[in-house]
Amino acid sequence: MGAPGSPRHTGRWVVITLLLLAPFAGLLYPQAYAKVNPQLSGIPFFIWYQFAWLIFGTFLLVVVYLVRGERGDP
Amino acid sequence: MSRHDQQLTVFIVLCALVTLLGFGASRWRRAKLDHLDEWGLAGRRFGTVITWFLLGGDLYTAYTFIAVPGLVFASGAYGLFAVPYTILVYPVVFLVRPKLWQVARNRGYVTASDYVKDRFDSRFLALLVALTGIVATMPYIALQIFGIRMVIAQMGVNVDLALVIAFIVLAAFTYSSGLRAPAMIALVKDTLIWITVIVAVIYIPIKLGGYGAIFHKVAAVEGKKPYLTITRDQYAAYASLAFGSALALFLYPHALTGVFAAKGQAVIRRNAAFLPAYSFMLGLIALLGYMAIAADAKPLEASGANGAVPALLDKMFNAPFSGFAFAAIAIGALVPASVMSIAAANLFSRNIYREYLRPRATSAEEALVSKLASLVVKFGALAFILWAPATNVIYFQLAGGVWILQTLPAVILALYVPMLNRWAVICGWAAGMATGTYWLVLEQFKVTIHGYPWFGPHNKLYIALVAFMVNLGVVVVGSVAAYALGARRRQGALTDADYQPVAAV
Repeated sequence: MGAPGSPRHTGRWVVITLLLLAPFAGLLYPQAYAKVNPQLSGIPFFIWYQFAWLIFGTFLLVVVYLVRGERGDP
Repeated sequence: MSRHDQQLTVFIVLCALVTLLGFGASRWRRAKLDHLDEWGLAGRRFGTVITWFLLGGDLYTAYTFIAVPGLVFASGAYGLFAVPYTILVYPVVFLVRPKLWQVARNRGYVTASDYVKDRFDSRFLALLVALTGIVATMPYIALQIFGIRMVIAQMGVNVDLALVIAFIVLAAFTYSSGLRAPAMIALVKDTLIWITVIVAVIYIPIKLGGYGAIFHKVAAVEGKKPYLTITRDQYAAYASLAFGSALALFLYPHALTGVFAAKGQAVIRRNAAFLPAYSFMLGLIALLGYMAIAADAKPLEASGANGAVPALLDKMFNAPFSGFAFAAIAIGALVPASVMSIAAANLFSRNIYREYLRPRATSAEEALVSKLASLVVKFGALAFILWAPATNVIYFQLAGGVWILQTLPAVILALYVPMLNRWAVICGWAAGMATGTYWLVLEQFKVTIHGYPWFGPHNKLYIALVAFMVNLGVVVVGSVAAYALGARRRQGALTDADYQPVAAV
């Protein structure tokens, strides 16, 4: 588990924070995904990219929830 | 039976069912409803599943079902900013809401304003936060009525009369059952909405020749508007709308009411992980805007682009199922309207009435004032809808986001930064509200993005976010200055222990 302040504890919190910040990096720079091609069976890139994030973002939150467990607050 | 009669029959049967459920909810986990904790927070006993339905039913409103696809229908890909918005909101919830929930549980808080009062030892700042919450919520309730109006109009009924009936029913069950009513109705709402959305995103594309064909048709009608992706001058607006809206959502009183009614921190974390299922639904609903373009759906003239989804459902489905879908949208608007009126009423009874008008009010009196305030708030919103031009509703709802975001330092930063100074936060709030409202006035309340010369000539930014930056700047400079002048970190009436989970007794 790692007590507060121990390297394992700190490491876990770094990972959790990065996982929670990932969607911000992926979505708040629309320059990177505002384009029509490549399409996915006729769906523009701009749309399927964001839908992929809907799924991946949920997946990340579930991972964070599992890594974090039911423990109290940092 | 005519088509409208069939639609209306299904619609009325479903709404009647929900009404019975709303009144019956007062018997659910029966308790004395003359206490604000019971009427306004249902005794803080909701577990993971009920919280999931309640928050899902509470956060995904007529804005989701009507305004977002309407914007996609009218403006194309730009309207999809709601998708990143709804993804980004959950990491924020995961990080900050459990801590706020814990202190609220330990100290018996019903509103965010309760926390602010103790944290800053300031009745004045608490009053500002309460007033901001009420002012930001009113147009949000009006937007729900607006959503109901869109579907009723599509069925060709006397709109005003139907709206008044819908609101008497809503007001009555909210008054008698409190938060238990929308929580129970949310189970039905979510079931109806999920069925409607799943059928719509499978059946309509089949009729239109598949998703590829839909986007092909959309591209063919693309004139001046960029329908399939956003353009260079929309980048900054798109990202700032998504980010600012994500920060603002859980500051709304109705979102916090749903959070405070949960029975544990773990319930909130689980919900932050599993609520995004609704975000996926929001994405699918946004696509209905494209389907409406491809199907050449014609919204009613009086409804404008916001009538796109009702017109699409009416065009694509047979009468009984379109009636079912309309009922899903209308009930979908009743749940948030009910929670919002409860949340605004709690702010009034707890933070204005009891704080300033009748400090010695008993719990029973406080709960009664809250019930009465919930009626006033709802009928105020109804009056607004009946007499104000329909288009204004959407604009004022957008302004609500600008205002509510200005409470972030007092409600959220305060959880983590002991150094925050009371007067710095008050001045920051005033600066954010003043600049935000000023820019909204410059845009005549018609859009929430504004061009800022320092940010380049072609880029526009979400006003809420820029006003928040001004707010934050004042808070930081003011707090540092106060510290330099000798003010020391203080936690108001709270100690560290107030933020910690209490061992089960």
